[in-house]
Amino acid sequence: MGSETLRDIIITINVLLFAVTFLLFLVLLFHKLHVERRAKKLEQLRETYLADLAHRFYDPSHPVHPPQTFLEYEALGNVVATMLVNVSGEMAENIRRCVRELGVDVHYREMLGSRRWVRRFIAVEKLGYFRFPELKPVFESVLAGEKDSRIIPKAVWALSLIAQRTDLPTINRILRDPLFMSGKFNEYIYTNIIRSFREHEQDALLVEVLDELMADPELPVLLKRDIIQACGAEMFFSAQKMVLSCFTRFRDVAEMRIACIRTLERFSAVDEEWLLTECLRDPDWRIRGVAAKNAHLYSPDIISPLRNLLHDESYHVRINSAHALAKMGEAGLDVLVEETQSEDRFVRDVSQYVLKRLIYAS
Amino acid sequence: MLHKVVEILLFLQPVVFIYFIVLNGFYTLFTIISLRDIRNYLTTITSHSIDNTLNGMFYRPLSILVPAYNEEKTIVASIKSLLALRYPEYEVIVVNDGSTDGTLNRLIEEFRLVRIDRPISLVVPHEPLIAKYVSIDHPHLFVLDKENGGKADALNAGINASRFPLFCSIDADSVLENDALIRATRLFVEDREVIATGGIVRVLNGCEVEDGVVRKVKAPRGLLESFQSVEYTKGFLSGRTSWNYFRSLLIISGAFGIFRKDMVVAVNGYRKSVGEDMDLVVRLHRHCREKKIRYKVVFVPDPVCWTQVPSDLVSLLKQRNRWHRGLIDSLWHGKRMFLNPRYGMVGIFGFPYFFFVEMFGPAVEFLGYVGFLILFILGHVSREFAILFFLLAVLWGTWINLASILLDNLIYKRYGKLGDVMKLCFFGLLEFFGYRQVIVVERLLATFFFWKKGWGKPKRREIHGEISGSTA
Repeated sequence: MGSETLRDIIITINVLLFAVTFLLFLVLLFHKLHVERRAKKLEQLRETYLADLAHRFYDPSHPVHPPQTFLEYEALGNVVATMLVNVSGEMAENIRRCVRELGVDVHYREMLGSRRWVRRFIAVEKLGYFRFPELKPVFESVLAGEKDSRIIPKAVWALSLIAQRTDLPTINRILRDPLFMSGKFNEYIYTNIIRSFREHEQDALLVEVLDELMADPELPVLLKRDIIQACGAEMFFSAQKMVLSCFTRFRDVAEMRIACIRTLERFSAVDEEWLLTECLRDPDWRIRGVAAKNAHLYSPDIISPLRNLLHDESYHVRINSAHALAKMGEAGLDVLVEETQSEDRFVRDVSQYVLKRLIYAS
Repeated sequence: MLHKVVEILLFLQPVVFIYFIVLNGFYTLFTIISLRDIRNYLTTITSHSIDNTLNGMFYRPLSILVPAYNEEKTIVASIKSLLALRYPEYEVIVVNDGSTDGTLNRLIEEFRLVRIDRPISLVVPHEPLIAKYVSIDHPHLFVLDKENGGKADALNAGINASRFPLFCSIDADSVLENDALIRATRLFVEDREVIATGGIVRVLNGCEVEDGVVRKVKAPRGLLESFQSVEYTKGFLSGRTSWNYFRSLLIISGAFGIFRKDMVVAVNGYRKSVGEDMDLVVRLHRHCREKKIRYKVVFVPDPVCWTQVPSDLVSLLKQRNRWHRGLIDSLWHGKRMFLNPRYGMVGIFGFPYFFFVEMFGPAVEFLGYVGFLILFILGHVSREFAILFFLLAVLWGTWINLASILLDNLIYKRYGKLGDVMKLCFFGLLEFFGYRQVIVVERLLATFFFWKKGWGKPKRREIHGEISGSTA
């Protein structure tokens, strides 16, 4: 290639780059103005809709400006979502009525057909917040046809908020995949399901359903664990018997036993002391550690096994036992004071540490 | 002799030219990928989803580890901001790494620390501890006083003392945005494969700070800080988002990274190195690939950590020198991953990129500058061609910088004023007239002294009011 040709090529590239860079600079400035203006406008719209919808609580005839533009739909959708998270009962129904009247749900249902995954994602999320029972088939069809791995969890979440017995197979079909999302996510989904059943005052039915799930050999044991944790998180006391039976049934699965102890402690099921005593003697240090953590909730009979656990080989068990003893009143404190003279350095250290923390805290 | 030199330089010029094309080509590709990905990602992160996590029970408790060496000017403001974070359950562990100034005394006075013999499990190695403290006012604030052993060593001590399954490492001169933790840990709750995440680190200089909280985001005033602001925007928003895309993220900034403790313990914690942050991530990749563990190391663009950048040349050069030595050390330590298909995309794409482009880049670029200059002086390159080529480099580089600044418009803690954006654009252009060359020379020097372990710590300014940066 001759130097003249090379020169011409570089000149052409430079001219092009200059034009593109200058154009980008203009785009950048206009985009900045647009972004700031949009954010301001969105905030204004949000405040207007918030005021209008709040007014509606007291005056159902109060008019709300029907959204026309995409931005207005976005603002109203955000306001409705925020409100529905924070209110319930009559107020929530009032907002939902308004959503239907203004066609907000129709707008987001149309968005579900978009080719862009972000728009479909937003649509599923917003529709999920609305919690309309009639949207079930919509979420089911999303779950059946959607390929994007970012939208599927959103659709599972949306369905879980309005789930009833017939929806559980659809949800479990997705949650049973051991690589799907995480244990915490499964737990979250099941707390939504429990809430949905309880809103319909179907506690007894839910216990029955959960029993069936626990007996289902096809359902992975780790998902069962997440369901039990969800019962604890939602304080679903009616499930206590089921949790107890799971403790025995899944004796050889440490994760399951840990979930059961945690849930029973959340239920304050402290009359099941045999279970705690058994766990405090478990060969698995994780089970001993979890059992020791909330052992102070039980009767003073537990002090003696806890004292033994101060000598445990696991650091976590020792420290949890010491903390539990510190919360057991004078009897527990006496044990700790005595153990500050122990010949075992680890026991001495842990006892002194917990006592000192108590002194500083007071 | 001169004739030989000219011959060699003429032979090397095409190599430099190819390097130039490849480097800018990658940056262009990265910017385009980032423009698409960041916009999509941030559209899906709504305030509801963040509030939902905050109000719910589905989070993972976390320990914040703050290694501190001679940080008496910034430590109090930094810890105050950490104690005010929105997060359901966390503890703050400050590790005073043998400071020779009043760091420990300031902590003791400000947070009413008392000595406590908290038993600590020794899972990763570190220098001996001198004392342990707990705050009377903030029971979740612990301070470890230990013998000096470097940042990696201090972090290891923090890991041993931490109680929770996740830990966040943060620099003592940095300030976390109020909801940064919840945004950064969200993925650990949602995705079982995530083992490490890093948020965006932004320049604190110029911003208005009150009680450890950034009230107003403003562009820095100083020349050097403004250059760095453009660099940070480019490095984080454009660079790391793209490495995410290629599943080859090799760096999570030491200023703000969150890790699963069990995984870090499995690789024996931090290794003593001047680039301990990159080194840890490289070893995590290696460990997971070798043990066939499904994993993800992810950059998340919305959690923001504000950090003071050097405002004088000496401090800046020391910092860049250290970064480059850290890079070389990490790559050398993980050399078996180089072009090794066993390590997936990290081995066949990420590692070679860092090796050829980042590690040898300064040498090639320097050769380009010097060679071009010599050839020009000796009349082997015409003035017209020299100007044209320089223009090409400036225009392409400026395009990349402007596109990165465009990314800044998309994030939620962006520069508010049009004037600030224009200022950054100006510095994005000015970068090619001296600043870039000075940094290249320093990085080249670091290449020749890569075995040195010196830290070159810049002096700090207090974090309050309008931040003017750290000075030497």
